[in-house]
Amino acid sequence: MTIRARMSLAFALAALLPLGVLAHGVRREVTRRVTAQYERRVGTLIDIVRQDLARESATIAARLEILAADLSSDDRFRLGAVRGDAAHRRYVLDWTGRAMEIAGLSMLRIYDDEDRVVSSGHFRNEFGRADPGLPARIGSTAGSNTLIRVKTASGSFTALAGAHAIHVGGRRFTLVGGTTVDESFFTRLGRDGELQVSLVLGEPTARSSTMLETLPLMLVGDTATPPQQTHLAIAPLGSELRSLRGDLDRWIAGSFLVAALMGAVLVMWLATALSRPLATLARAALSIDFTTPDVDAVAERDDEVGTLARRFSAMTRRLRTSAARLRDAERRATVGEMARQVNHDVKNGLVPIRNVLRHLSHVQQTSPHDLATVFGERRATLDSSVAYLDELATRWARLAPRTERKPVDVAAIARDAAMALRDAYATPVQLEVRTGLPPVFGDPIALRRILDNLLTNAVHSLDGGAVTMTTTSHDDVVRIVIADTGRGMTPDELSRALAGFYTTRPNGTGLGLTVVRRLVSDHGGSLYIDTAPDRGTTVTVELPAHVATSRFAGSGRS
Amino acid sequence: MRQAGGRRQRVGWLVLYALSACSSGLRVPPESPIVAETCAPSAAPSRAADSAFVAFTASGLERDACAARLAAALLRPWTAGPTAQWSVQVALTESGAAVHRLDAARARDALDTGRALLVTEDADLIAYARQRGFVVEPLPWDRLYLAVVPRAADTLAAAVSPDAVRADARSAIMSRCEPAAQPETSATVVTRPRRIVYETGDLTARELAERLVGLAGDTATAAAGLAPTEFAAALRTDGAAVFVVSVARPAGAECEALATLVPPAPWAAAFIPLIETRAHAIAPRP
Repeated sequence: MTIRARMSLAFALAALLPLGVLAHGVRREVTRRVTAQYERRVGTLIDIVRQDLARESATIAARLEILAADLSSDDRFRLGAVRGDAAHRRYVLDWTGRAMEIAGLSMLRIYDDEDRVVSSGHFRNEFGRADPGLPARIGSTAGSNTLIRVKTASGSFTALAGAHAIHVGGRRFTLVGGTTVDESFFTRLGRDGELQVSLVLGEPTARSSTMLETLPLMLVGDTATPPQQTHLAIAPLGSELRSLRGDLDRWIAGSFLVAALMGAVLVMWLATALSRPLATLARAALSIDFTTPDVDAVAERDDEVGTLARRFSAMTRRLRTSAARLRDAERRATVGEMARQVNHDVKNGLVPIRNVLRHLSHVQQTSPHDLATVFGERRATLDSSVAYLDELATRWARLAPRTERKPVDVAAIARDAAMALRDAYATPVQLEVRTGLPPVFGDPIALRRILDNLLTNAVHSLDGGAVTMTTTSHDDVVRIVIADTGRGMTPDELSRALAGFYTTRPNGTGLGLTVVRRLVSDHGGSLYIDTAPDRGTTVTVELPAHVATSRFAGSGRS
Repeated sequence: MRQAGGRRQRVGWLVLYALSACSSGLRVPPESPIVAETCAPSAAPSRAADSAFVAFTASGLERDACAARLAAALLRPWTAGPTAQWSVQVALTESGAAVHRLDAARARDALDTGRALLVTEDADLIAYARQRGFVVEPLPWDRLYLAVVPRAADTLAAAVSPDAVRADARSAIMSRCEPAAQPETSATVVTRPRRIVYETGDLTARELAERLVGLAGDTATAAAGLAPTEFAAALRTDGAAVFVVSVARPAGAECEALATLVPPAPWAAAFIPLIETRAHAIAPRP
């Protein structure tokens, strides 16, 4: 898991989760309190609705009582309605219209004692129509809120109604009046949208979860059926509560989103600030060996990463110093070993010469005249010893480098070496050379020796396999990889081969890898050997590209 | 010149008043309380929103009396405006009479100025004029309201009393008329029309329609007002309704004459005359 993923997870657990829990708790608590407050308010409003309804009925009753009092003393009504005076009939017909408007009622009728409409305010021309029993049915619901269906010329409506009976001239007249019960009435009762008030005919079968209250009413129809139970269903619209909850949810969601976004940005920034120098350090670690400069890529930081980088650099410097000492000691040991070898070889070569010279000296002292003859006899020994020493000198001379540095095309040298190897051993070398390799500043002879030694070792290790040489470049480094499918080496064999004078070939000097290692080191490069018995050997030579021209011209394979 | 005209006007109203006094004893209201020798429009009246002009010629009759009769006959009902009691003020000009429609308050204001000639159907205004001592003369019964009914609704329009309207009205003298061309009987003819249609702006027609609804005795029948153009179109095509139609009262009380006055209604099975109305002229007492 990457640092970024770990930090994101940590942020989610440490910040977002508690924030979410807090938001949930706050929302639940606020909702609970606001809902309780809202329900108390709704309860108060329902009481007000009940009082309004009762007040409306009382107002209707009061107005009917006033109209009845006026009507009972109205002479023209008495003449027209009781005495049947045709001259006042029109007055009777029109009286309810004017009275209804003045009293602020929506409907007003006067019934006679035969329950016929004598005069109607909301529907002037329904006079004469009989509504048998209607005044009595309305009167029987006295004390409760009564609804009636009211017919007009263009339709019908429902009215909250009352009735008031008077006696004029020995006849009973009943005033039935009321106000319209429509959407505006319900809206007014519902406190302009805070409650939803609707009319439910009959008994409410099931009280819904949203229905808070029902107020009983009596619906009186036109027919002779008994008054029907009706209810006003009151339910909270809850728009204010929903709006409050919605606002709360939006604020919480917005805060959560902002926190998440800020956290994500913060995590990205922190993770990048941590992982980038570590990645740089890791890349630098890849290129660290005992020949490259110190790695100070992130050492300028003054935080823990900078400290780590500085300590890492210090560690590489110490290692490099130790390695230099070790290399020096190794070199001295090698030189000592070589000195011993030279001493041994030279002594070996000098022994016959010394013996011949002693013999010749003895002949000169004892029988000088035989000196020429003996010299002739022993000359072959002298020549052989001198030849041996000469050969020995030649061999050791091979170890003495003679470098001539210049920009070198490694690819060309690799092709030449592969071709020469193919001619010498008739062994195919699979060569993969990336074009556009940057040049290496070095000695072409030394580079050729490096490749010759490595290719020769590879060919000699083969037992019917193949040799592959690949040249690539990466980050201003030219990399030459020579891989074989031969016998491979054990770690001990590898160690001895690097130490020098170890060979498995009859005519080998045992100095090939030692020479290669030294030459690579002289060129500021690195040598990596990956080998195992029966798995072959892969030798990687990395050489620094020539700085002045170390820019890739392109890439491709040939 | 102006004094001579005023004197002639007052004399004319005296004659009108005397004729009305003589005719009040008749059992059947006279066709015209005015002895009209010649009183006819010389051109179709031009109408605007609240005013009109009636060009006429009169002889043997005072011009103001003729103007009142023509205004009542030609400009009633005034359906282009809001529903109200019909009242107009008549002002004589050289070639005719300029007529202005008045609402109830302005009509009373006009009376209070004391010099206006009004023609009205408003019973309250008439009562107010009488109380103020104005000369109030009924004009001829010149409007007939009838119900155009499909076959199935013959009984609906029966027994409509003049009380249903606030205008001065009487029961129609004419009896039921059937158009010469009877519509084909359809099996799907409704048994009871659900709509009683009247022309908006005609208060008397509306009151008659409402009275028909009141007499229907059910909650399904309703009155519906239509604008003049829509009313004429519906009258031609809607055979499922009863239409309350206002026409000039035919002089001969004959069905043939009535049929020529009623707008086209091919589906109509019968014309049932309901009531006749008349306006009143109100003039300052000389």
